[in-house]
Amino acid sequence: MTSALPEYSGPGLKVAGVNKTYPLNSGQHLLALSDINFELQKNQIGVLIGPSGCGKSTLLRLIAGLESLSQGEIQVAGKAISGPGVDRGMVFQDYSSFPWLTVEENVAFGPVHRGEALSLREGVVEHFIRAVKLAGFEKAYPHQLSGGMQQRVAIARSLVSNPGLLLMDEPFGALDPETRWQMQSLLLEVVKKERTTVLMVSHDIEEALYLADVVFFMGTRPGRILEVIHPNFERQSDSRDAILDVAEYRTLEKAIRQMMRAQSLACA
Amino acid sequence: MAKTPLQRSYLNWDGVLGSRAVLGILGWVLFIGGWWLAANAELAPQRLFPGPDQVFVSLYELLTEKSFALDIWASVKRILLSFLIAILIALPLGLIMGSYPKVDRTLGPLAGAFRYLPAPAFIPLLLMWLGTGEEQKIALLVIGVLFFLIIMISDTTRQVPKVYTETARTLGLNSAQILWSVIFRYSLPGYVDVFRQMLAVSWTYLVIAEIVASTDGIGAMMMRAKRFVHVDEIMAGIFVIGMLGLAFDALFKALHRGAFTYLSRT
Repeated sequence: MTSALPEYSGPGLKVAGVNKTYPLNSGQHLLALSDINFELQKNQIGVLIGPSGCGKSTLLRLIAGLESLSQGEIQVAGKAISGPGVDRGMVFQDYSSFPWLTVEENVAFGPVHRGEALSLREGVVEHFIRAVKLAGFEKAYPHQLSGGMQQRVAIARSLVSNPGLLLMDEPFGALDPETRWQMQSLLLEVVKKERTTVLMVSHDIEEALYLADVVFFMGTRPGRILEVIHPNFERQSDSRDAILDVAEYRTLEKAIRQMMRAQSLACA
Repeated sequence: MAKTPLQRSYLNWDGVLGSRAVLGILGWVLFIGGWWLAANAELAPQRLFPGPDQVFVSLYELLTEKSFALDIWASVKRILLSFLIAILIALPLGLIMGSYPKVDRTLGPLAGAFRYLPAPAFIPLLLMWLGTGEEQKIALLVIGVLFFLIIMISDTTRQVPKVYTETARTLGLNSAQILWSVIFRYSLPGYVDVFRQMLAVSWTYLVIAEIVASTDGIGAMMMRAKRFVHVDEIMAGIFVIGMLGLAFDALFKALHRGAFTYLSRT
């Protein structure tokens, strides 16, 4: 469809001068996010990390278009957003598979309701079910799946709409550590293969450093970006533990942990 | 190894089901036995307090000699028609109220207040507006459940977790699609449950609806029987209403089980 246009070469996501305020009962306003500016390059994974209450989920919801900006602009692939759009997929922490639909029907949910029968005929649904390793579970219902499998359904359901940007709000936060590790490897594998830009909210430093091309460290009161970190050590999707031995990983992990603690203390 | 706890819980469940049925029947046996004893102790004249045996005999006579089946059918028709009308009004309203807080804040207090008006209080009004015919009875039955239905359907609708509607929004669905394909669809099992509970209320209004200027229906039969002091027939009427209520309850439960298999835990 867009092949006639020159390929867009700018950042996958650009957030410029974004503020978010909430009205308080007293008539005053609470500044939840203050002057957020950052860019995320195409095909990169960005992770928003910070102490609770720093507004990282709010920022993600603003980018998803689920909440409105008070000030500033958000561009996805060069276009300013207004409201939710198919150019952005969203995976929540809470299991979101529609319980009355099978895995297959869940994954096809977006295209079916947008009337895109074509993409279904081309086997896109099957492709993404296989990509998240759910082949054989096409006819299963969500209640028959484990938490990790449900999150894989959610990832496939988002990717099937071919979003330029995949937003994830602590997607593995409710999973046990072992499953979380597996899911991180799987995610890395899938999004690198599908060339998807990802912005994830996490409070898990290890997860952030394992997945991220760029980590945005956020502070509280008001929510703002304090530090942008580019971890650039080797990582493999097939050996999740290897990074634990990398010296730079350990240095960064310690640095972020200290920043977290400092922020928490400042709040308390 | 892993099989043992599974098997045990399966067997236990079976046992619970078995004993539950046994206990349920035991309750009935105690009730009917106690009733029989009380009736035969002649605490009151048999004519005013017949035993279960007499009631079943007169039920049989009603059905075979007094075309009671037609009365039952008339009542069932009233219940089903009025309930269908109530659902057709309450479902769209409750769905919209549960989905849009502003609509809820506008109509919620109204429906909430009407809920506390006793339906029989409308009878004089309905008699003047609609006369003594079928419309009046149907209207009373509709009023009896309508406002409860609206409130309960909007409550059920509000239970839809936000994560489903927000997921649908990010997948590009418009408001109408979200209302139908997500909110309505998610709430459907809850609606069926609400219908089951409210149909029971409908049956409780049936006799009131049929007391006023009625020639057919279970309630009308009972009023006829009262005129001739046929207490056994009145009791047979009560019994039939109870049985029909139970039957419809079971029907809704079966529908719920059959249609929403995805809710069962495996």
